[in-house]
Amino acid sequence: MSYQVERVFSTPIYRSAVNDIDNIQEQLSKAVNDTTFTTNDNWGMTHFLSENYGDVNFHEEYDLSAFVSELDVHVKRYCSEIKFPFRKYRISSSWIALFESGNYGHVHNHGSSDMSGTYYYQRDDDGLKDGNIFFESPVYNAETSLCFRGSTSGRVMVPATTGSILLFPGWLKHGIMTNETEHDRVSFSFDIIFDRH
Amino acid sequence: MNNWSIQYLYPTQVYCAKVENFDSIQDEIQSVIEKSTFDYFPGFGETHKLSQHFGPSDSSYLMGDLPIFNNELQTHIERYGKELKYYNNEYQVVNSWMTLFEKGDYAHIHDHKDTDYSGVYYFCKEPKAKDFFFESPVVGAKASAPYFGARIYPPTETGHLILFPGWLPHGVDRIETDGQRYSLSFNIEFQKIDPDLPVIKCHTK
Repeated sequence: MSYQVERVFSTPIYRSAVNDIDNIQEQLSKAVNDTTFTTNDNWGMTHFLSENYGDVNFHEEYDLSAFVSELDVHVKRYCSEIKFPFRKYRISSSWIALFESGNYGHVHNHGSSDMSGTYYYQRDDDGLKDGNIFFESPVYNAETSLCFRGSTSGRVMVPATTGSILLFPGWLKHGIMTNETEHDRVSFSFDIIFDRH
Repeated sequence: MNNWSIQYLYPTQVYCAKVENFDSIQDEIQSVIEKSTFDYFPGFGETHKLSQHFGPSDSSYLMGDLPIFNNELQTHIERYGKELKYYNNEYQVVNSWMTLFEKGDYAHIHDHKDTDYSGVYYFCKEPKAKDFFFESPVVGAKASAPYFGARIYPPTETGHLILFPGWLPHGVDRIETDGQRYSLSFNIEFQKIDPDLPVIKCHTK
C-alpha cells in the first residue's frame, strides 16, 4: 500500500553567517557606540531601541555600507530558494535593539513589510541564554486543533550566534526570550519592501 | 559563503495514498451509488451534486454500507496519526456523503470547520485530471508577494485517498470534461464522540 505525507504551505526562514564580518562588525561598533538607547513608551520596560526608532532609519544615519552590501547576497539567495523572482528592494526601516539582563521582546510582527531580518552584532554565544528569537505558527487553526497542534503549531526557537543574519516574512509573528545573562545582547533589525513595478 | 540554511516551519501535513483493496472498495461504493440520489444542495447553488447522505436532515449512516472501505480507512488513519505524532485509541466517522461532479460543476473554497480529519476517496476520476486543490492556511502568505503560497493540487486519481485537517481550505475547479466524477467524502472525530454513531478502535501507538 503506497502512501506519502505531503508537508505543504510551510514558512521559510533564512539563516546564514555573514562573509564580511570584520567590516560589518567594525561599522556597527562605531554606530552602536555613537547612539543612545531608549525604551518605547508604548511597550513598557521590555528592551531598548536606538534613538528615533520609527522616525529615522539607522542604516541611513550611520555608515553601514558593508552590511547593506552583504545583505544583497542573502536577499537574492533567499528569494531564489522561495522562488520569488528577485527585484529591486529598499530597506524601509532599520534600528538597533539592545536587550539588557531581564529584557525581552513581546510577540509581534512587522506589519506590511515584505521581508524582515536581524543581524546579530553581539550575542553571548556561550549557551545563547541572552534572548533567542522565536517564531509562532501562522497557521492559527492548527493552534486549536487536537491532531495538528503538535506538528503545525507552537514556538520554534532559532538560535543565531554573533555574525549571523536571519531573514523571515514580515507577517510572521515572533518574540525574543528573556535575556537571562548579565551580557548585553545587541542586534540590528530591518524591514524590506520590494519594488512593485 | 557556505554556512546558510532555510528552515521550513509549520508545514501542514496532508496524507495521500492508494487503497489496497481497490476492487472490493469499488464494488462496494458502486452499489451505494446505484441506490443513492444526487442533487444540488440548497444553499450551495448549482455547484455540484451531493448524495442524500449530506446534510443534517439525513439520519442514515453511509459508512454502514461500506465495511470494506471502513476497514481500510482505519489503516490510513492509524498511519496518518503516527506521522503527525497524534495518538488516539478510537475515532468516529461522524458524517459521510457521495459527491457527483459533471461537466461545468465546481466546488467553492470551503473547510470542514473544527472536524479533526477530513477525507476524500476518488471512486471515479478522469486520469491525471487536476481539479481538487488546497488553499494556504497561512493568511499572511496569501497577502504577500514574496511568500505567496497559492494552491496545491495533490495527486487525485481513481482509487486515491486523501486525509487532511478539517480546517484546511480546499475547493474543486470547474470540471471541463465530459463524464461523471464520483467521490466519497467524510469527517473524522477523535474526542467529540456522538453516542448514536459507531466508535472504531484504532492502534496508533
